Amino acid sequence: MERIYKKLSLLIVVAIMVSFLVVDVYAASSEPYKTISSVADFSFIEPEVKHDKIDTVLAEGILNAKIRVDFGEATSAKAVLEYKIDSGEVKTSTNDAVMEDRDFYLGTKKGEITKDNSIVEYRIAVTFTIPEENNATSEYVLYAPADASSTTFVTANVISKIEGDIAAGGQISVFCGDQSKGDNGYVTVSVSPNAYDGEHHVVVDFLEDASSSSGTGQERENVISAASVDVEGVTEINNPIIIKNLPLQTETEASKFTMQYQNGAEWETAAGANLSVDKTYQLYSFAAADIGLYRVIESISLSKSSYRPDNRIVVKGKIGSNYPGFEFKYLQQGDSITIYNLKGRKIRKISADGSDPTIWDGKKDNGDWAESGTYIYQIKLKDGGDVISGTIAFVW
Amino acid sequence: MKKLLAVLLLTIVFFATQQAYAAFDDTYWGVRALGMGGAFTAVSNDANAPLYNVAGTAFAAQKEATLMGSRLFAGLDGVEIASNYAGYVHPISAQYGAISFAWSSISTPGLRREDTFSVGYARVLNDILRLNSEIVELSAGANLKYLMQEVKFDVSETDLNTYEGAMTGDIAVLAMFTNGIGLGFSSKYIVPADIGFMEKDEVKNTNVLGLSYYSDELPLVKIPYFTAALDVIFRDSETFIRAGVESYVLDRKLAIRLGGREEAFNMGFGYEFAFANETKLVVDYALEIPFEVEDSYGSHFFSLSFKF
Repeated sequence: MERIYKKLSLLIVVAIMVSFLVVDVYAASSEPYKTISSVADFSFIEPEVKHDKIDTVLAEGILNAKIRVDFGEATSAKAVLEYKIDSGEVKTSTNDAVMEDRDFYLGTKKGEITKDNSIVEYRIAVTFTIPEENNATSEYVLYAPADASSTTFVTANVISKIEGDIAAGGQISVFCGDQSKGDNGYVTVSVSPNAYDGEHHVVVDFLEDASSSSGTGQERENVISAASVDVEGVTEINNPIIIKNLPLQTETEASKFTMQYQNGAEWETAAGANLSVDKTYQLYSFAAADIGLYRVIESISLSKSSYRPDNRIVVKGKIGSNYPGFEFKYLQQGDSITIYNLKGRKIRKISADGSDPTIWDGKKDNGDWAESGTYIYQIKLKDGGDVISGTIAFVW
Repeated sequence: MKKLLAVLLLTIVFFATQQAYAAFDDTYWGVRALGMGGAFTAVSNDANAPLYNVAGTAFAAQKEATLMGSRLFAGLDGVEIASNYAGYVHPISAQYGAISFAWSSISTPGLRREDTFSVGYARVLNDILRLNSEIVELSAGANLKYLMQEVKFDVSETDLNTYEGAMTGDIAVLAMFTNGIGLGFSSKYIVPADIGFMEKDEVKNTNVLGLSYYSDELPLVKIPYFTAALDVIFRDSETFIRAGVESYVLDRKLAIRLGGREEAFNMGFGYEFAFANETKLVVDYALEIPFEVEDSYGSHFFSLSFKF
């Protein structure tokens, strides 16, 4: 009997050992890989890229401009500018670009490129000029996320302001600066009479300072773009100003977005707001009936997972301007993230400053790099609620 | 005796002043040890010894196999971390010493895991060093280890391997004095083991000095079969302390343990079922309550050990 008991006990130990192994291996391998980020996942504003400007002409009102960057060699680059006009025609610039060191040239003006061969995804801001028939110019900023081994397109976005009576000739100011960096943002150019008949086209950008969130922990509003619609000396506009390039990707998302108008005291839902979708461009447009400042609000119902970083693994050697670290979304000023190692020791506390996303760059509170390992994060929202926890891995 | 202590102290000083290297840790394995806050370097004498002080395997009285499972930081939504351990100690004879095999793992499904495989050998050195066994028993041992780190990278990280591994080793000594004092030293990861995916990432050399005291009945308070232990850990220019106590009651069948370290409080118990022919089945449980991590019900560790 004792012998049977002894053998049975040993059998149980071995069986449990094997089951642990099987369960652990299965659990580790059953998690699907994440899919690569699409262009739509990128923020169009790259904080560390010099805010360069692109000169071009609004002969018919450029609604979309695309830049294609194809890196064949580490020390050279070839770039093609494509832009699409209202008629749908796609134009392509014939200028090749040459990259020397970290500078990028296209046409006659110098731009700047941030490139690091160790970084798979990065963004580019370039400056260039395209002469058009009416000699008018305006400025554009292009931010292009690019893949080191492939070609990527991204829609250029700017904010424009129209001043004066365009039909009689006047000024067009294009907002393409960055006020947070001391740039007043507007560049004024002259246009010929009747250069713009009909609708005035205003292209909308994602303002860097418009990327913010508000609301409670579970219901927050995310400002995803803003536009200034202003006609100097004109109190009303006869034709709606069309604002396009809203960052919406699918028609089903339309219900999540509303256009708000700044009435001088607060933001209110824009009267007569009419968001419509352009399936060709996969963009939405909005007809502004009043002069003023508008913004697009994405109403978000947030769950715990909304705050969690999409990138759960960060490699130390890849951290850079375009790969800043773990990105925690929708956090407001007053929210905080605490990072613990698996001993339960706090190694970093990050207070959200209102910018989105909030980044953990892999460093400890003392400035040293964290060791390779699995880490626990805990997010605390200023308006209370449950602590949001999860795991991330930081490796060298 | 003085020579022995001098040699031991010199060894400790030598290794404690070595350049610290880089990321595996031994906080998560060995239920008996965890019940004592992880202070086990000068106590090691069972199948947990390969983790804490391989020299202690020479003091194992029987063959022993152990299996551990756990759930770390239970109660945290979105956190799924498990540590597992399997160890086996096989005492051959006083002349040939003991061999041991161990596997330890800590994993987060779909994210990252660490695995350590080790083969160890230890022997009591009294006969070689002509030490008086009525005063002390001294053992020394070494582990040969393979460390493996696996990460479930995004598909975009095609330029990186999904796992990296490297060989390294431990050396250790353990002196058990007949007056109840135990003194142990373990130097882990003595050979730099690079487990980096993109950059050099060497597992940090870790030196642990352990002190223990055992009494069949603690004077004054009369706690039976009492052990107190203290570990001082030197790692990457940082020093950590772990401490714990253990007592056996109910005719040495039930063990009660308490311990702690800077980040957590520990407690645990174990029960031994004895059968004929000195065969024993031991069930152990340990609970670790973290001080800083919020909303956690603690980390729970279970093990089943079979001595024969």
